[in-house]
Amino acid sequence: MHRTAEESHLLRIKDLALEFHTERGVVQALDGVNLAVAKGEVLGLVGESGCGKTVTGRSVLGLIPCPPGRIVRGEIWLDQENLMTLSQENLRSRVRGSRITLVPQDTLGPLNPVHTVGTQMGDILKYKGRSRNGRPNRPGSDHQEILDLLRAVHLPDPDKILAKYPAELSGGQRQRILIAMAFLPRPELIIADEPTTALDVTVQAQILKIFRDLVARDGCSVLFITHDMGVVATICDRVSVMYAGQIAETAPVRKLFESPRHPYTVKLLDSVPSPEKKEISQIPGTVPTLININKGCRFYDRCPQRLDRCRDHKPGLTQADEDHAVFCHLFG
Amino acid sequence: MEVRAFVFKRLVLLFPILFGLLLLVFVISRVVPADPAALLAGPMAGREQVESLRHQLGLDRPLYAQFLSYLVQLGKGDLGSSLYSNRPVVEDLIARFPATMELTLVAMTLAIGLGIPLGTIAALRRNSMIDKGLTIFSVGGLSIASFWLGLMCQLFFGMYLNLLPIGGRIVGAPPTTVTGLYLLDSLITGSLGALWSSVVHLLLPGLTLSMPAIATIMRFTRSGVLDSLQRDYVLYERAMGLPERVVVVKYVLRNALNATIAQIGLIFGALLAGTVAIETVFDWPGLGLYAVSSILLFDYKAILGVTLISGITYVLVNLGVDILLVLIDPRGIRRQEA
Amino acid sequence: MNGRVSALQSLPGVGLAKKLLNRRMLRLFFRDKLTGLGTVLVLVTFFLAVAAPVLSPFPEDAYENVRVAERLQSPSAKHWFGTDRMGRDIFSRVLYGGRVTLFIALAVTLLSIAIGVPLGLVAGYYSGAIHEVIMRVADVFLAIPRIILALSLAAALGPNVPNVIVALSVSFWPRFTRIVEAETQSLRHELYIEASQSLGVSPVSILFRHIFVHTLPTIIVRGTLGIGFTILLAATLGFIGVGVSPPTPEWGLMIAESREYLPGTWWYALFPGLAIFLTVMGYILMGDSLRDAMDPRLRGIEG
Repeated sequence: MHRTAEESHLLRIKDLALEFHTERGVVQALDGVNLAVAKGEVLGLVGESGCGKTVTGRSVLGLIPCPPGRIVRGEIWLDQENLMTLSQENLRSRVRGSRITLVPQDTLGPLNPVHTVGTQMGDILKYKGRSRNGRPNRPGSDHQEILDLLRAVHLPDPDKILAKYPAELSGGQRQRILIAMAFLPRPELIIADEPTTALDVTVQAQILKIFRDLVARDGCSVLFITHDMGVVATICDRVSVMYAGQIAETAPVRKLFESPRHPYTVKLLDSVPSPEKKEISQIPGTVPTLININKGCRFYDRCPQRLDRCRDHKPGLTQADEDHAVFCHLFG
Repeated sequence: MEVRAFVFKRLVLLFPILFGLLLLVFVISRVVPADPAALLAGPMAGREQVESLRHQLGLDRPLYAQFLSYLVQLGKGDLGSSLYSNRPVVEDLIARFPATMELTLVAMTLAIGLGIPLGTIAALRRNSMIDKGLTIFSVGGLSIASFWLGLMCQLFFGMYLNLLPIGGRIVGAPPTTVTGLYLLDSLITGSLGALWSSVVHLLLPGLTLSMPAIATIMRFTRSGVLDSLQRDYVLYERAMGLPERVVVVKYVLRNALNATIAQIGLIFGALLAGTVAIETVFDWPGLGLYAVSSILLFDYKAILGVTLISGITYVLVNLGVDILLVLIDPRGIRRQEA
Repeated sequence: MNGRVSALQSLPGVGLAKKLLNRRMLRLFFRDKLTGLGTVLVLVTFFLAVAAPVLSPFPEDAYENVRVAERLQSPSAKHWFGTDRMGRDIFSRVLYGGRVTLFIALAVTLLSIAIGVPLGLVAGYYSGAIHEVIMRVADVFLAIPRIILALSLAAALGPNVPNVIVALSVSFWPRFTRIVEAETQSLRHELYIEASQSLGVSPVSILFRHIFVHTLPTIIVRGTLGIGFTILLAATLGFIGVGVSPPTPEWGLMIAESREYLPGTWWYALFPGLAIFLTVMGYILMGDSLRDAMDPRLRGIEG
């Protein structure tokens, strides 16, 4: 909206629309997504499986294969640069792994089975580590940096860990290593794609704490993708709620929990079980398929407060508060 | 610990197979032919000679007794005498072994040195013109009769263009024997003339022998790399912006080559078999040519000797490859047991 | 020899042709250029072999014949592929050579399947002594390279067509046993097999009706590739002089004969070799494409 607001945002996704051409038809995966992550902020991107949050994360890194994907419209700004104007090679050399890193969901797949942890971490630093003061890092300091980071993620005996192969470690250990690898090149932005989903609840809590501490230490921004509202409450500063390829609501975490506006958000928060609730509430119906979907608000079919307008007219942005945005006809 | 147990187990399994091999050769030599004595005596022998040989070999004794004395004989390293050269077959085999080894090793090197890069390129450029061309090349390489290819090359490069020699291992005196491999020996003794001559003589036979192996390795590497490229770690490594060359060479190939290396034993066997035809075409003084001339001269003991030695070599090489694989990647133990 | 081969002529009957030409089959065998090429090569070479007596301009040249005046002539309008050392028409001999070679290759493959598959089924289904014995015997036969085994057997038995078939089959059957055993082992533990067993269905019936049917795709793929490789092997044996003997028209044998007269008589060596190349390529392309169609997992299995 205003220049100053834009300048203070590290990542800005403007009206991103993306579709996939498949055998069964054209899947309208993203329909005008608007998202912003400020410098030093942790933004949660929350929604059910299949709502497009992972696709959004991948799009930032330019990892959506086109074909079968096709970017219909939109811009992705990293600081002052429009990422969509960059070639794949530029994205690779200047953005991926250096300015933006990734914490993936699966812990075993992303780590190469025939190389040790040390080799893989070393390669990240070697090829993506950005030197401070413009000078390349000395070899000795690299090793030290890796050890420090491993200690920061609470892995005891980092030397021993470096010599191990991924298959020899537990899921929790691997996830810590992946987190360490994401912080290693000192990125500006970390995209965390459901990093705790595959872990036990107790381990989850530990990992989240580690993550929070590292973010505080480094001051980087995080786009934290998850389907778990509890995780959002723990680690995020602000949160965007997504449904079927559309953003429903964006607000600081506290405000969203205390006064949710969008009917979907309300239902979502409602369905989180807690001891006080007598029954488990559900949202009736199922997530619609994204082929031949209606042009308006995609929550139309399941929304208890829908208006006629909602089916064919896409809701615009309404500022419920200065930092609380809703995309719903009920409010504007 | 696991590795040691595996190696021990495989070494132990070696014996039944070797035993079976000996039994098979025994059956071929004594049981299969209508008249083993006549065969072993050779076409020149008179009836009396055949009878005395029959008695000497104990062919009128029960089979198990024959087998026992056969084993004893083998234990002493006695494979009989070649009808043609009149030398003990063992001596003939030892004399000719290095020539075949050198040819096979050169072909193996060419196959790996060309097959792996070409297969990788084909996988990386999947479905492009390059890939289609390489696929046709690999299918063609498998479909072509290597002796015919050798003959055509001999014709073209040797007889028409006069660029390369049409046969033999070397022109002039061979280098002083250290290993019996002329390439190595001439390097060791520093005789450049012999080195050049050896290289030039190895070119055509080596290339034509390796052609099916190049094709096979190319196909395996291609499918291995294609498979690896789909794995999650490639997605992650690319997402983290690692240079493509590092991703392919360091991360993908290491994984992809597992399948290819596992085939090396089989490929070696195929190369060994191929030397029979190639040595015939290029007059290469190795075991293959020995086998062929032995057959044509009805030198039965010699043929049996070759059969035995090729079987033993093949089994040992396979064992070596399996153990090596496990040493490189201990996860292979589980895979091989499966 | 001729009487046996002419039985092949009755194979491509009208009924069979009709059954094969339905749309699904067409799509399978012609789905892309390479597959189509393979199918065409296999069909054409088979047809040429079968119809050799009809298509050859000089059928009398197939075996014994001497035309001294026309010895070693280069290709011409009369003799498309030139003539050989006896003055025989090479084109006709190449066509007839196809009959010999294909007959041997098909016989070997079928015989190897007939021996190897049942053994594989039994080895995979039962564990213990039976399994060990069968698999070790297979290992021993696999330890000697095919050609050397064929050489020594040919030496023991004598070089003629039946012996070549036996020699080549002896070294081929273990491959079928290996792959069938592996598949049987994995299928054995499927629930429906255990269900059948508990119902009291006899092992033979289970093996045949359920397991064998599942191994068919693998067998077909391996068999098709095997035909190709066996053709190469038979030609190599012929080249060395251990296969069929003259005057039988056999491609490897013809190439061997030509050696004496090189470099002048290039056609003598070229055309039989090209025949081998095209025929084998057809089977390999077809085998590859069948493998891709039936089960992408089989990518690793090679000659």
